[in-house]
Amino acid sequence: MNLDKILKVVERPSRYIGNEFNSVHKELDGINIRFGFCFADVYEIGMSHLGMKILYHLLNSAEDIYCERFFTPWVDMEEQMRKNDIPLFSLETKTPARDFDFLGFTLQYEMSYTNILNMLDLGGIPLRSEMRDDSYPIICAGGPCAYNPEPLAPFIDFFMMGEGEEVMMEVMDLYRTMKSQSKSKDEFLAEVVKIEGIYVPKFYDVTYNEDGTIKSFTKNYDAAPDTVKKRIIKDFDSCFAPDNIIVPFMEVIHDRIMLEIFRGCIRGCRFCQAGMIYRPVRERSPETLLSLAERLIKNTGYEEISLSSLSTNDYTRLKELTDGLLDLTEEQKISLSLPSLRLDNFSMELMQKVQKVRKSGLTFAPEAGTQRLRDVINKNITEEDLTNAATMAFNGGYGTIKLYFMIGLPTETNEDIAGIARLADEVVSIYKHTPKEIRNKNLRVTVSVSSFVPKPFTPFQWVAQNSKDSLFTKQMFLKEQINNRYVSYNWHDSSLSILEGIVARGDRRLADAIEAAFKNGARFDSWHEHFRPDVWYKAFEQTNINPDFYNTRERSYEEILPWDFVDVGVSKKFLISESEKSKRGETTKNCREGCSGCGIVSAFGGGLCG
Amino acid sequence: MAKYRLQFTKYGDMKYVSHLDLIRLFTRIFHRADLPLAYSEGFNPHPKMSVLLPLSVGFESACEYIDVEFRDGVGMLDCMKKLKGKLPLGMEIPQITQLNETSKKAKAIRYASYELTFTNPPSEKEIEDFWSLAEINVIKKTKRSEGLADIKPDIMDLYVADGKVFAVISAGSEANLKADLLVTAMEQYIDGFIADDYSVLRTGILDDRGTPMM
Repeated sequence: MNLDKILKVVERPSRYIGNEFNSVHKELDGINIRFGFCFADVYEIGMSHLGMKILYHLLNSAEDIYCERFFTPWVDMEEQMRKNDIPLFSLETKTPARDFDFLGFTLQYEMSYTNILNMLDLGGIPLRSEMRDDSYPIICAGGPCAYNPEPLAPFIDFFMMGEGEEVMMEVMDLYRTMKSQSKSKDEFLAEVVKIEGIYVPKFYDVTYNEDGTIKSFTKNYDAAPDTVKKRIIKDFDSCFAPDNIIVPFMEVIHDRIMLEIFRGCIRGCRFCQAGMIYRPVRERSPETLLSLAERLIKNTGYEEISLSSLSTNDYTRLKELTDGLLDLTEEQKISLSLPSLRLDNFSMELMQKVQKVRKSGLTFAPEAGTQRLRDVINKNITEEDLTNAATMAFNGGYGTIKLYFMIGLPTETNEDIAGIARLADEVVSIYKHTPKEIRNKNLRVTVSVSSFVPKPFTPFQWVAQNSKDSLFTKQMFLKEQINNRYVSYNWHDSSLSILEGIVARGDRRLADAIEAAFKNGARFDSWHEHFRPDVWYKAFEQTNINPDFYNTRERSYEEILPWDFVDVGVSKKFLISESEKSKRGETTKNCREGCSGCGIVSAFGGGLCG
Repeated sequence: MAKYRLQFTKYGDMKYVSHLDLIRLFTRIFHRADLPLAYSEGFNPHPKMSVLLPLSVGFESACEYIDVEFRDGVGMLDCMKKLKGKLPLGMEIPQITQLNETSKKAKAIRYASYELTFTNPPSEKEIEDFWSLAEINVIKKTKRSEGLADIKPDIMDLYVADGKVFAVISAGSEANLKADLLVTAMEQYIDGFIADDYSVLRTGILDDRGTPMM
């Protein structure tokens, strides 16, 4: 494929060249399985994703598997490709997508779904499974959004639920055997569904009640499981972690070594899908992490290393780890960054050590403006925690504070929203009470407010999402409440959150609308400059879908939800009990203060929840 | 403290790595090679490196230069040895030299030589006629303005050999002619010549006496 002509006219051609340091190049002679790992967004987003790095190197660790990468071509590149009849091609060998055995999409956010369809289309691959014969690759998907696979059910041949590290290789082993026996795609799907964690949509039928809710969800193939249980890595400390990750030429969003210190979260915030679906908590030991860090530094030459987890402070041996890392990084002139750090004495001291000179911004996420609402969402932060943290930050010379909140949370009132402005004022007054000699000369408090999106497998999976009008009224109300020259207020049009809400809790019927939206021109929906809500609403009309049914409707506990057949380990019983507790404003302890019986232990056996 | 000049190549896909990305790339290459980069002082320390003459994205090169400073003295042979296997495909480092007082500075650069490959190259005669024109006026865009400029004085040598066009043209801070502007001019003045799909290879960076920078 001669790409020179088009690469010379597109922006940032290094997105498409694929010979970055540590990218894998194999002789095609001994290859049995060609796997195209697809991330449905532009290169610099996809290359920031840790999961892709893990699975890319894991698949390539098998001699006869060649995993290559695919990203969504940016709009200028798409235009050139369509104009010049260039099909979607892999980065490593520039092989057309059609020539692969598998294309595997990682589903990180709902608003990338039209990009998936665009990638298939650019590859000359029919969008719907039923339209693809054996000459086309098998299309599979995994990742957090796969836990509600239904909106993509007609497009994807099979889904992998849970952590890919184990299930992926089992699927490959099966495929290798069946390919050598020249079995068909249908025969393969009939077998692969027997592997735990695999969901094949065509083996299930859905019927609906008159009101549009699901009447039944039943399998039409005996060997398919009634519930599809997610897969997890039980021994996270010894599980595969690549030490030779790809080093991109262009600057990507997370352009650094990411050290995954643990999976799961002990917190149990009720709005947070990640906090539920990634359970149980499993840690890597500092010994493992330090050895991994050392090898990664050596093999990549990266100048920055960052810890990756849902909440850094909850890592039980953080001091040991950071002491070790500081020794390592100081010696090699590498900077260490510590995201999702809660501010306490320990982390303050740590930050002083880490960022010796720069006193840039600090971020807090109280999420809600009043204690009552924070209790509802089980965000166990008190106003005192925040004021202590702010005092500490200002005493330490920080001048920029960012506060993150959500609006549209269940049971929210104007008082809760006004509480956001009051918290910001409180932070300003703490600054004013900090002695002039030690505080930063400049103060800037930023209040960033996003719109709440209810997600499957959270205690809020039944609640109605606020309408666009109601969210706008709340945004404007908060604007009036903020009258402080040190406080700046960030908010966005909620159209994207609304659409995300529709797709996140969608069912199979929604697939028609996604396809129509793509055909109407929807692309890169998560990019503000490309998101066009009108294209989507036209698609809902064309396909006779009432979007309100999916987001502004409250569901009953009895209703069959589209994702009920998936077992993430956290039980529905627990989610209902959490939902009831939230209505009463009762909090739930974090996993280390006491087990609240979410079901993960009985699902995966004891010895977990480190 | 030791300062070196490295000659490096940008072949194949490396031609799409921009000047800006090159510094980051070299930082990581030296880290991987365990070569101790020297850093500037101040709030935002950055490695002491500079690429002598930027190359347009899309051009290949057999001869680029980067100056770099290491914290400790590293022998040249040691340096070469350490860099082995740490470079991306398409990049090689054929030469290293230690810099001293008498080394040529970037501002000594006057010319660069190029090899241009066309699907349908112009003939020897066409190139001769083109170069013997009294004036070669093309629209030259700079950051601030756009205007007609005579590029004839910027062409030092121009000939056809083995179906390729070889050119030595102005480069550096005093006068600079980009190879693609030369091609535009050729298209403009040579009757029936269309460059369409062409590739550019830089072959040398030269001082006022036409000698290489190392």
